[in-house]
Amino acid sequence: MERLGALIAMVRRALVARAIVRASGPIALASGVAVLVAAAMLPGLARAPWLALLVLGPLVGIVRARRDAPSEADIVLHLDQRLGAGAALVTAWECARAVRETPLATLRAALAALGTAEASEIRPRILARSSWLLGLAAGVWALVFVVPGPAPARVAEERHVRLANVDALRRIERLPEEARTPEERRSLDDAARKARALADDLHEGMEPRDALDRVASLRAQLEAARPHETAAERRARDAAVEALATEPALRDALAARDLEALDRAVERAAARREAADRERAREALQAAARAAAAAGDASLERSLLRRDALLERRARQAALARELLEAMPELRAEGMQRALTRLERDGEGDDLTRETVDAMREAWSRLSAEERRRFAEAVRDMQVAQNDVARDEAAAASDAPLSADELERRLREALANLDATGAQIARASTGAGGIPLAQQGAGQGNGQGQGAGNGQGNGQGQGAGQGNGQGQGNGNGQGNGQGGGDGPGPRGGETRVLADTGGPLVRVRPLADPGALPSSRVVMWESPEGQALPEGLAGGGATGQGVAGDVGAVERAGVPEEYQAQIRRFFEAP
Amino acid sequence: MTGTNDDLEGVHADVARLRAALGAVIVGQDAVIEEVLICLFAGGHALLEGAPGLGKTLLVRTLAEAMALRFSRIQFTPDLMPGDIVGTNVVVEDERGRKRFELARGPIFGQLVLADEINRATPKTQSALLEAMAEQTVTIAGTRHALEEPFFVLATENPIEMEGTYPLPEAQLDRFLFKVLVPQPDEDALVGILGRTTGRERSVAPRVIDGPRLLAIRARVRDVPVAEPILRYVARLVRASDPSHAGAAPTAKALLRYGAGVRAAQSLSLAAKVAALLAGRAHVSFADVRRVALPALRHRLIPGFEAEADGISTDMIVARLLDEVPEVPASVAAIAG
Repeated sequence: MERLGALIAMVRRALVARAIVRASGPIALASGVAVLVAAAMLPGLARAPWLALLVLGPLVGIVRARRDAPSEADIVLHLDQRLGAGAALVTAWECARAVRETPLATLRAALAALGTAEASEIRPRILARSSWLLGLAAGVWALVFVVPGPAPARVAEERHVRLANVDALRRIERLPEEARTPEERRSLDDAARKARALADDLHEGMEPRDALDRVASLRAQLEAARPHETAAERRARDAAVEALATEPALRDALAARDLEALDRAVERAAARREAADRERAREALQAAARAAAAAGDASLERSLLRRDALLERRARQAALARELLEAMPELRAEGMQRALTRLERDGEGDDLTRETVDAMREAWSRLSAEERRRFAEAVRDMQVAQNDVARDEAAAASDAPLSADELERRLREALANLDATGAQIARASTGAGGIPLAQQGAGQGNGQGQGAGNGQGNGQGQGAGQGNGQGQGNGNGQGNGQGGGDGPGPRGGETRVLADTGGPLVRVRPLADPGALPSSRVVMWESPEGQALPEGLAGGGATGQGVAGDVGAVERAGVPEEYQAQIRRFFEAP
Repeated sequence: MTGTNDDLEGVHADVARLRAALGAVIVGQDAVIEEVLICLFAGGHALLEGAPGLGKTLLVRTLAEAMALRFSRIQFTPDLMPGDIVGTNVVVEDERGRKRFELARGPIFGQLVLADEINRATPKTQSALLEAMAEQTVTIAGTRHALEEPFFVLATENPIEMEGTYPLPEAQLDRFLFKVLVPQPDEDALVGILGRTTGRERSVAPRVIDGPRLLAIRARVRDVPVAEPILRYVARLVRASDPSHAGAAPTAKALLRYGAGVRAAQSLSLAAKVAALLAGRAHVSFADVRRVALPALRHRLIPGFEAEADGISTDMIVARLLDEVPEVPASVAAIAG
């Protein structure tokens, strides 16, 4: 019966093992899920110590096994049933416990049953239906160690990002300068502000997510500001591009919707055509000169050759002026274009040289964008032809072309003068002061009717060089401060004598004495060709006088129509 | 653990001889014979129920012949009086002319009593058997008389003719260890009966054991060990048949009006011991309990209205109870997992 004791012990061990397995599954699964969640929420949490939780299952299982341990009688009955002993085993076991004689037949039956007992037959089933929980728990625990978690230090580093190189954001700040419409400008201004703020934050350090969000927002805003082409616009552009097939530069500029490039291409195309026309004219002149020479008319031949030389000089000057204008795009304006046209049509001198243009380009490039803008605005307001300025400056200084340094210095002086003028205007507008009119009067006395501008020029110390600029009689008529102060004297600065014609084209001066306030109603007309005083104007002789209060005097004065508006604006100034 | 070599083999041999003796007269009915023998060796009484002519009386008479027991038969009729069973004092006159009372013993004073068609007598007469069956004594005119051992009552019932019968009260039914149903013989058995009963020769059972040997066997039966799990199984089975009990089986709750009692448990245990001996084992197994459950319980269960309305017999109810009550408790079943 020792065999019975061994079998009972085996059953007890199996029951303990089963209790451990059954308790370990759910507990290991629950603890595994809890640790997995904790590992996901706390990446820096150490995982290995949590393995101690796996001991809970076996402990609970052992406790349950001891608590629910079956009695020995139950185990013997279990063995009796499993072995098919027909209650012989349990009967013999009870007889033995009761110290009672066991029937021999019963004892034999019990021993026979024990003799055939196989451990595999009588061992209680250890794995239960819920044992799959163990596999699941093992998987969960494996996940606990598989799920990656960044190191805490790395997390701290990644919480803030710091960038020193923010060139892309700086480029966004400059985008408003290229805006084409007010709406686009406003949008780009806002984007520039955001880009500037983002660049500052990135320099100081900020959270990556915040930075990415702001970059994305900025990108969206820039994308929204980008002009979108409609289908109709696209069709129109395609048609225009197709029509410009013979002009590749125009076609490309139009295809790229680059209007500035288109303007330049148009100018270049026009210049090419004019140059071609000019060449054909020169060829015609040269042919005519040859014909005149062949006919024996030397005077006519010289005259024709002089015209040919003039045409060649104008072309060269115009090319240089155009090059200068392209180098100084901020100065593009309608007045400048007209001046260029006149230069090509009527220009005579050799004021513009290659050296001058190169020096101007170099000096212009040294100015900042803001300085260029201010200068261009000032020039535009004054309606002064750039070629005149350059030419007069060059003439006043010396025959040698100015260096880039000298030109830069003069440009900056001009800007300083503009600032001072602006300050005076500001004081005048606020009543704190103003431009001294008496001083203007003195200046005007020296100059022309455009003396107001000359007065400023004197006041600012512009010098005589600008006084020569009035010789054009056009831009000077504005007198926007560019005029010189040392004109011809009380009779005013005369307009420059036209070449080959002699004498001034027109003179306009105020009726009053030098220093008197200019007035649109008091003009003096003087015609160099001896043209009669227009009807309705008082006075006579070479310098007739207008009548005070006469309306329409400018129109009747025979002033070329293209100058009338300028003269009227001048005299209408308060 | 030591073993003792008892007379298990001798008992088994006697039983085998007794079966052979009965088989020489009784054709078929092996199950009936075995159940009757269980009652005989357990010291209980048997109630046989079957149609007339199935050999019930022959079985009892043959059993008496084989065991050399004094046989008596009581034919129960409605006018049968208790005195007709137990006997009475009668006035007798001796040679000198003096008169005196003398006990005229009734048929109950036999050792193997056949109470034929017991349900035809009145309850008063039927109750005359109670004392004899329970205490093996009878009281006549205030004098108590012990019945001779071994005392064994075999009562029969005819289930067909129910008119003019008096069904046995539950208390009296409970006195019977078994209620044995005598089935109709099959074809082979019937042929054998015809061959034995229609010829010139009459089969006579040989005497194989006597009264003292029967008492010795009964004593041996009492020594058969029954393990506690089996006793608990008997207890669970009996309690499960009681519909008033909280742990009653669903079948009992649904189909029974009254369940088995303590006598039923005693009958099961004792009959299981005999069954173990008859099977050649010295201990009782669960199978022995299941073997005797039907005859030991079928007359102790009172079916309810549902069972009677549905024609569910007590045999079917007992079978269901055996299915519903597990042999081993839940704690042992849990070990297997």
